[in-house]
Amino acid sequence: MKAYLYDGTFEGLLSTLYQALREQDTNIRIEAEADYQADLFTQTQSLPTDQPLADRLYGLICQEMSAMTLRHVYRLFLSETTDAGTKLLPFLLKGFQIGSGINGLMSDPIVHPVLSLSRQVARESHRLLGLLRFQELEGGLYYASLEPDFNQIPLIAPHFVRRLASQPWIIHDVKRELAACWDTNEWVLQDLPAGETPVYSQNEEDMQELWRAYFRHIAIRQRTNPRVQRNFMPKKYWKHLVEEPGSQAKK
Amino acid sequence: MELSQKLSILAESAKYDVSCSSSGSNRANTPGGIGNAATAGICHSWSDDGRCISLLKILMTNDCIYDCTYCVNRRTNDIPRATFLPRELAELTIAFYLRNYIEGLFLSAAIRETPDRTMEDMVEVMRLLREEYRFNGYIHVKAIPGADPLLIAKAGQLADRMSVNIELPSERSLHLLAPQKKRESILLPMGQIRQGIVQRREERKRFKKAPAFVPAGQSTQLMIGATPESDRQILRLSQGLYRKFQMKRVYYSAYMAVNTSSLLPVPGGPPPTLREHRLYQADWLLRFYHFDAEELLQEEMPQLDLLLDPKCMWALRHPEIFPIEVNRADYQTLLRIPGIGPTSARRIASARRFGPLNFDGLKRTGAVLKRARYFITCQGKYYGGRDFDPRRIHQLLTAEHTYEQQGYQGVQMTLTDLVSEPKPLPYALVKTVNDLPHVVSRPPDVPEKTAQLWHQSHKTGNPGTVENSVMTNLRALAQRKEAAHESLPV
Ligand code: SF4
Repeated sequence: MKAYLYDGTFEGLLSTLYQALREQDTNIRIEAEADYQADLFTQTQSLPTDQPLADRLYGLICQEMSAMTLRHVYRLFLSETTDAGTKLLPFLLKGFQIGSGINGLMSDPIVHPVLSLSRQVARESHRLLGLLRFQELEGGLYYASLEPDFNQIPLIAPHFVRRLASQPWIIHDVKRELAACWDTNEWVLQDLPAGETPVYSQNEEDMQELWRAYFRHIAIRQRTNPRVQRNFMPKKYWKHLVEEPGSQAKK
Repeated sequence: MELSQKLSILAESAKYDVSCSSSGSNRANTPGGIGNAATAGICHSWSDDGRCISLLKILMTNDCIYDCTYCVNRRTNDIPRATFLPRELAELTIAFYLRNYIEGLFLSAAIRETPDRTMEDMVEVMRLLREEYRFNGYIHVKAIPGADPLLIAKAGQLADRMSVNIELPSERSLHLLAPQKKRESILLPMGQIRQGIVQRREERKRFKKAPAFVPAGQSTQLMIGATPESDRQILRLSQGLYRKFQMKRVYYSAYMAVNTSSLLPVPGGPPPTLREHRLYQADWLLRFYHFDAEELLQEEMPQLDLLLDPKCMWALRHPEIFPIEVNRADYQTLLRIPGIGPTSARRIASARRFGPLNFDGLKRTGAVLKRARYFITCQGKYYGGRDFDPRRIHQLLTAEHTYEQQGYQGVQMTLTDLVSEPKPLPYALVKTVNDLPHVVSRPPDVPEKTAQLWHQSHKTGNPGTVENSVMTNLRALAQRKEAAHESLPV
């Protein structure tokens, strides 16, 4: 068994995939160098990012398959699962054979794992568009923290760029210590350590209290249904919310 | 009065309104403005009753001059009253929106002083939001019956969606329970909004720049269980509303008895949530599956089955069509298979293009086969047990339902519960299997209870029977449910 290791960047993944695709061998593992667990039977080779190759594959996927396929590839990269690259290799090989139809080929054993992981990532992004909570800091900056399963910031930041265009904000993944920062002009992704508590604006506590009051009163007590609530809004997301779900069930 | 107190009172009064969707509009943000509306709609939270919170659903005021028998806010009820100032509410909406608590505003109102006065205040909130705060998020506003058509027109230019609640599904009930409201006063604004939408759509074909009018369409709400209308009457009304008024959505709200009146169910009883759920399923079939109300409910059988969903019931009444071969059926026919929705049907159709679909491939498309397998063949093979026998399938599916409902209520289940006498469902309107309206007449020797089903599958001693595998599934489900139950936050 062979394994190609890439440097953990999206471009690195693309250029490594390109080189593996050229060999037409679907038996190559493709993993990020940092995640790789060495074993005796695998021959490894680290490949540095080759920007022109990455660009080539980027263009080829759009051209031979579709922009949607490229999005699946990107989402798999952001899923940060160890075998994402390994799943993508036979997927792309198949894609070059059948073209954009690959996006609908859920029934295929090679395509299915890719599409279903991509869907999982997309589902979490959509959830977070709703569940993200901004807090107003002193000085008027808006700050939101989150700890998603997948690396979501690159996927959700553009939505908030459009929505809160005239408002500077920071979206902070405290698990990955990564943040998207928007200054009303452009947004950048940068490292941001977790652990510091920001200073909130004067108004902030009152607003949060108003929201909690609203949340308590809008529920119909006789229809309390924690199961459905947790189904839609799993507990792992509660930590970063302002409201207090489940308080009815406690009573 | 403090803002938080007002907010609490007016949220409390608004919570029985069910519509909360924020989809269907794609207002873009403007330079220097706040927000946009996402076509797909976004849920921001789920309240403790499991309903999605997308919009700030609130009343302008709960200080009502009317006295509708079913309503918490009616004049003769002794409850705290509050009224927002337009600016107060606009500011609150903006503050919540910026923090990403909400997708926009859903503004309703009781009738304070006069319908016009009330509608004026609501229009003012919207005007502040759109013009002063340059808010491009979603706004759903109720049209107040009896308000001046000019105000309704003004509201339509500012809102994404408008609705007029019908609440009572027949004129008789309206007369009885809401004597101050007239049928005409509900239909008039509804017609006006419909016309506005149609007209503006035409104009926009010619001038791209023509301002939008209620771009996300109009909706309404019907109350279920307060009055004696049958499901058939209700569904036909909805169908008419979809077809004649081009309604985007009809919402159904299980009536929660809040007032004491000889005309109404006794307060404190459970709301008919299961019936509400079945109506939503049937409504879904009207809108996305090309069903007709008459197909789902006939005159002799005017109520939806509580134990089985309407699509299954329909399928079981049509053994001449089933089982359906998934490799050959066209899209419309796939949609008729219980358990297969538009997404699965589309996926099946696109997967088939590359060759025939086998059962494993079918599973991978994500179609829910738990239910569908009784109604299909895949490459000629039937996976639902012996053969397509509506009586047997009806038995199996209702047994599963009874079981799931009990789990749903958080009742601790053990296997002995399962095999002994099934408990009556914890709903007001429940029927037993025996008085279900059967098209398929049941021969007397078919066992009716889960227990008997269980014993029978044991007696035959054949581990391969469907009955048996259903029981194994149920058992696994029971264990999972129990595990989930233990982790409840207590
Ligand atoms: S007009 Fe509306 S708020 Fe007033 S009593 Fe009737 S239903 Fe309730």
